[in-house]
Formats: sequence, structure tokens, C-alpha cells
Amino acid sequence: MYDCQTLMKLLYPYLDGELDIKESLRVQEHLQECPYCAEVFRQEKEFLQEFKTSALIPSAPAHLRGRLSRIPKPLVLLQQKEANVLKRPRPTSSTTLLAATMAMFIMVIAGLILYALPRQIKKGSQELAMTPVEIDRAAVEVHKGIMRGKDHYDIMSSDPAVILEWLQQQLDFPLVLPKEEVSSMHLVGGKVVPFLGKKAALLGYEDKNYRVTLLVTRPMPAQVFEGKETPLQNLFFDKRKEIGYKNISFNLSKYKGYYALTWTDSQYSYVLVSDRKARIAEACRICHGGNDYHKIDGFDSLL
Amino acid sequence: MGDGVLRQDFETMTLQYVDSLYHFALLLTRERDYAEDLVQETYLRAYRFCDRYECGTNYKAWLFTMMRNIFINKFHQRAREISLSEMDEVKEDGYESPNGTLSSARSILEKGIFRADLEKALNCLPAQLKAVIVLKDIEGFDYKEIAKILGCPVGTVMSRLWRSRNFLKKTLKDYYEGRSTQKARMETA
Repeated sequence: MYDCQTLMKLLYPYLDGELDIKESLRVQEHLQECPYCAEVFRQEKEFLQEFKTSALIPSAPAHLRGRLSRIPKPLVLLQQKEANVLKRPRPTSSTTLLAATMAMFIMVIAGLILYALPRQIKKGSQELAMTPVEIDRAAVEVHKGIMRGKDHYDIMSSDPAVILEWLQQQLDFPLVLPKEEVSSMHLVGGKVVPFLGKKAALLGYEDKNYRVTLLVTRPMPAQVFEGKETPLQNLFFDKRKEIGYKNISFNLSKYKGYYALTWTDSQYSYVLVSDRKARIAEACRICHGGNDYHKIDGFDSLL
Repeated sequence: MGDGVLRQDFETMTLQYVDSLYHFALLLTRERDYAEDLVQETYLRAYRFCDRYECGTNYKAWLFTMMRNIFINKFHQRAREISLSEMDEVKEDGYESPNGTLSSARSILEKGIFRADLEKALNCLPAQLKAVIVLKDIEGFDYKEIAKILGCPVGTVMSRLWRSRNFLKKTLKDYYEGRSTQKARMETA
């Protein structure tokens, strides 16, 4: 059995429920035998109860709650496992019919508009080659939609492996992502977007309070990027610039206030979208090294 | 790795603790503006990293731990200013019985008066001691959770809890018995 000195040391752990069963029983054994300790324990228990019922948690200022609610929430994480993948709700039959009708209407309108844009049709293939204008525009629209909360990632996670695993299940081409973040930018989510009958992977990266979107799709034919500008194209973007760097042709355009950098290598075609050119350059380091400026040395100044 | 928090649950799960988080932030930073910034920073960070939360563990404790880490890392200047002002530690006196405090409290019929006295007594505590007693007796964390939140061993939590509760009892007792030094300190707190 414990002595009184030991009991005093166990006073608060006992009252706070921190002792195991064996220790608790030994304390109770002593309390049954020692009226002094029993009285001390009783008073302490009463004091703690009084304290807990009297102490108040001050309310946070009302404007703080409002402030938190108004914060745009770009990244929310969802950890991997199949059951936790964020899925869109299945549409009902009436919803599907309405959506299909709307889609058809939009496609008709879009077809009339796009008819005026230059395109090349491959012989023997039903693929439609896209011009930089279409890729840029589409990527910017999705980026803008996400930034404004009108569109969402299909999967959200800071783990590239999780995003990749999910995207690979949706895409019809193999996709490789950088294994580690080599810049200050963090992966926040992914999405599959349709690109004229094909699928493209869209990845969102964030640093502090700004966002960059990277669109990755199957490599587009080189001639896609050589389309001539038409008067109609000029309505859609403010500026356009071609940049040659290390045997790759980059196109930098500005559309609706957003910059889009487009290029193709042996594996994929890419579009990088952000609201500032400097962030485009920073985003290049996601794949090409955080502080290793030699890898993209001189590229920043070309943008 | 945890199973994470679904986006649609995050606001519901987190906003319920805003008052507690603000209270703790105020305790850490001692200023309203800093406290609000710290709460906002914690909220954002929790939103970003809620995939690291281990389902089944105490979500509130996870938020509090995150808040303290942010305070140390991002508000380090403020943390340094406060730690320098906390050089006076509460001495470890002998055990103080709560009997005097309880009988005085019982004689005060209005709950509000005792509550105000309690708040004043709490404010006399150095931040380190106030933190443990707030986390234990107001927020309801256990010793291990408090240790994790404050980044100290469980033994230190137990020691500080002992000292803070003892100090609280002594302060209230002295106040009720009308000792001038305690009364003057509390009424200017």
C-alpha cells in the first residue's frame, strides 16, 4: 500500500484520470485507510470541479470567424487510399439529360467559333491537332475556374505518388511526375480534363498564396505549334511570343490576364499557367531543380 | 500516414475550435492582433496538411500542436520577446490546501464574482504555467497531449500543473484573506 507522501505525488494524476487501474486501486486502498488523505483528495476534487465550471473560454472576435470563412481554400488534402478519393456525385437521369442537352448546345456554339481558327486534320486519323491558342485557352480556363472556386480538383493531396496513382487509372497514356518537390512549390491536387476527345492531366501547385497549373498531355505534333494567327485569334490573347531554348520551341501567351507557357518534348506536351511570368519561371524548377539554376540557366530572361 | 480529412468536413471540424484556438493563441502571443494572425495561419496550415492528421486521434490536440509549432517557427521574434519577459518562475512552494479558497468561494453567492477572481488569478500565472492549466482544466487534454502540444516531457507537464494549481489556490486564498500584495497584483492584472 502507498504511504501518504506517495499519495500526495499521485494526487493530481489520480484526479486527472492518468493512473492505470493497478495504481488507482492502490490509491483507493490508501484513501479508505487514511482519513487525512481522503479529505485532501475530496477538497482538491471539489476545487478542480469548481475551477472547471467557472473558467470560461473567451469567444474569438466575430470578424476572425468571418476572416477564416472568407479565406480561399486552394489546398485541401485527401490522403490516397481508394476509398478516400474525392469523387463527383453520380448524376441522376434527369440531370444527365439536362447536362447532355447543354453540352450539345455549347458544342454547336463552340464549333461555330472554332471553325474560324486554323486547324490541321491528319489523314488516316480522326485526331484533331490543336493550335497553341486552343491549348493555352483551355488550360487558362481550367486554371481560372479552380482559382475562382467554380471548378475543383478531382483528387487532392500533397503526395505526388498518390496523385500519380489516381491519374494513371484515369489516363490513357503513361504519366511521370517529379518524385520530390525541389522548389518552394507544393503539389495540391490533380484533375483529368478532356482535350478535344483526348485526356490531359492537370496538376495544381501552390506556394504561399499563389497557384500554378501544369497541364500534361500526349505529345502534340510539332506542326501544331506552327499555326498561323488569324484575326479571330487576336481577340483571345493579348500577347504571344515564341522562344527557342535547348532545341525546344516554347510558346508564351497571355490570355485573359493569365500567362501560359506551352511546349512539347519527346514524352509530353505541356502547358504551364500562372498569373505572373515570374511564377512560370519558378514553376519550371518543380521539374528542373530547385536551386540548380544551371539546368534552366538563362531561361528566365527569355520569358 | 493518416487517412486525412475530407474537404467538406474540414470547416465543420475546425471552426468549432476557433474560440479555443484563439484563447490559446492569445496565451502564446499576449496580443490580439498576433493571436488573430496565428489562428489564421493555423487554420490555413491545417487546411493544407490535413492529410497528415491521423484519424482516431484527437483532432483538437493536433490543431493546438500545429499552432504552437507555427508560433515558435513563424512568430519567433514574438516568442523570443515573451520568453525573455518570463524570467521570473513561480517557486515551488509546499502544498497549498484548497480549503480556504473553497470556503471563501462558497460565501460568494454570485458565480460571476468567483469567475472574475479566477480569471485574474490565472492572469497572474507565468505563461508556461498558465498554458498547462488551461490545456488541462479548460481544454480537457490529457498529459500526453499537453506534452506534445508544448513540446516537453510528461514529467514537466505534471510538475507545471502541480505548481500552477498550487499557485492558483494560494493566490485566491491570499486574495480572499485580503493580503495587500496579492490583492494589489490581481487588481492591476
